[in-house]
Amino acid sequence: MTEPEFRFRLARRSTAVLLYVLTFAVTALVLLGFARGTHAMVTAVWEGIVG
Amino acid sequence: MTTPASRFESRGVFVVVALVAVLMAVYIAAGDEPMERVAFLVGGFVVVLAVALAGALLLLVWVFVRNVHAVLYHGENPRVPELGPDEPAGYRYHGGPAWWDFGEVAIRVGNQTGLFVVFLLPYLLAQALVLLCHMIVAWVGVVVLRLVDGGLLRFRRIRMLCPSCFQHMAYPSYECGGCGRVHRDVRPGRRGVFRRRCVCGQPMPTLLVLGSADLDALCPYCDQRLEHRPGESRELSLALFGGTGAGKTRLTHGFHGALEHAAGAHGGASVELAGAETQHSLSDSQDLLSPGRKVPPTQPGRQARGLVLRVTAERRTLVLQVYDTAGEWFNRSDRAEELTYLGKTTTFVLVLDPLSVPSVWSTLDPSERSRLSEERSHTPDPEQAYMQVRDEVQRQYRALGRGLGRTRLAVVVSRGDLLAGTSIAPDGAEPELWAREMMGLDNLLRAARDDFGTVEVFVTSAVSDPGRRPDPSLAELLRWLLEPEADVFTSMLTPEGAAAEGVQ
Repeated sequence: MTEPEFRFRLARRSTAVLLYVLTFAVTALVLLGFARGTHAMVTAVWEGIVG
Repeated sequence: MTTPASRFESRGVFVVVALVAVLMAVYIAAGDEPMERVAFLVGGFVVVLAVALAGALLLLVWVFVRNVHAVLYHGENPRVPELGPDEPAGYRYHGGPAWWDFGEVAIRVGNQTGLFVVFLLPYLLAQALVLLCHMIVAWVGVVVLRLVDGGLLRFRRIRMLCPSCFQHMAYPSYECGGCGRVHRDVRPGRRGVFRRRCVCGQPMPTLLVLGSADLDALCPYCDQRLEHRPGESRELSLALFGGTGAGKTRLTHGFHGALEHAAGAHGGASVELAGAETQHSLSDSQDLLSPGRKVPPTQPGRQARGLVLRVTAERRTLVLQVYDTAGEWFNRSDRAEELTYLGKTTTFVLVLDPLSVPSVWSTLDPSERSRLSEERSHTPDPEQAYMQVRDEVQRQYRALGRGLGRTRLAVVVSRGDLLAGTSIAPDGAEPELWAREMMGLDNLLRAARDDFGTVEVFVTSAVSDPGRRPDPSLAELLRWLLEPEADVFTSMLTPEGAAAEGVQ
């Protein structure tokens, strides 16, 4: 396979780096949502059972 | 069908669940606040479930990132095809590989995660959106650049005509300076926005505004080399026609000589013969214009081809394409049909040898006839070539859906030098009046005025004086021909223009 030229590689790798950042951001948001949901559920369970 | 092993496994699970249930019951029963212990156990179960789900999601995300890294960062994508032998330049990322990468990542992730790929759909969607933004920016750039370049060509009224096959080209082909590979269409697109890279690694500008005129150009239709840097400057085509021996070739040399003389007298101006064919044909114009020198006639069998002169003055350039075709081509309609440049030219030059007209010849006295007999061409009827070409021009213009309203025709009576001193010399008479009365061109000129937009009559002498200065009639004719172009070219041809430069 011929070696892709510099600009092509640059565009491809820039896209990859942008995707890493986006993936990190989306995952962080999802995990934050998980944490908050879990906290809300635990609180609800405690208040529902213990009062 | 249950096997002993699976029965053993289900029993094991049952034992574990029962054990956990017993432990939980003991834990709840052993405390003082059983409800708090129940809440603690349920809450704990929720947290464990959430952590397990988060772990699973992280695992899926890791699969996605790993594939993005392999495909995009390391370029491991078998979907990006190798370049074929006829492909001159590779694709840029926006020209296909971006989507091929997206497809490869999606397929790899789908194969590795199975149905769980649904949890990665937001990530794949994010990748698609990133690529879409990339494509939008790149393709908007492509469209804007092409519009700017095309707009500039239109604004400057630049049309490119191949002097060899007479085809109008939207854009020339270009040869790579590194390997000689021909790039058919270098304009912005899949293979580059501002520049493309030849397979040999040589970068090439994609547009004339970006400097592609510096490359070696070829006609995209006939592959002939175009050495006049097409697209950089306006082009003016002059189609010369007339009977055999009327003086078309001599007039072509006269144009060259007059332009060179004017450029020499005008500081910073120059005339360059573009291409080997033009250099071969016009390099000896100065000698051929000397009095008494005969210009060899254009061979009838010779393929018609434009001679190209690049005239530069005050940083403006005009490419002059002169079509000097042998008179035999205008005698038959089937041959004239091959001269497709007639439909792409707006400026025509009908060259007439006054000595060939019987009425003129008979007016000369015997001594004049004897002196000029060798100079006389033998096309008795000047209207024949005119009608033949007029019909062909009309046919070609009609085929292109154009009218002849903007065309210009110069009717040039050649051999003014031979007429001088004879009993029929114009001697300052108005050329059109002289041509009507002496040459009997009434009908021809009336027809010409009906057929062409503008018609003017000139009497010229394509000879130079002993000081090698071309006859002023040539400059006058050229001024008229170049009138629609920039003023700098016509002023260069005026005696005042030369005088203003301080050169005699």
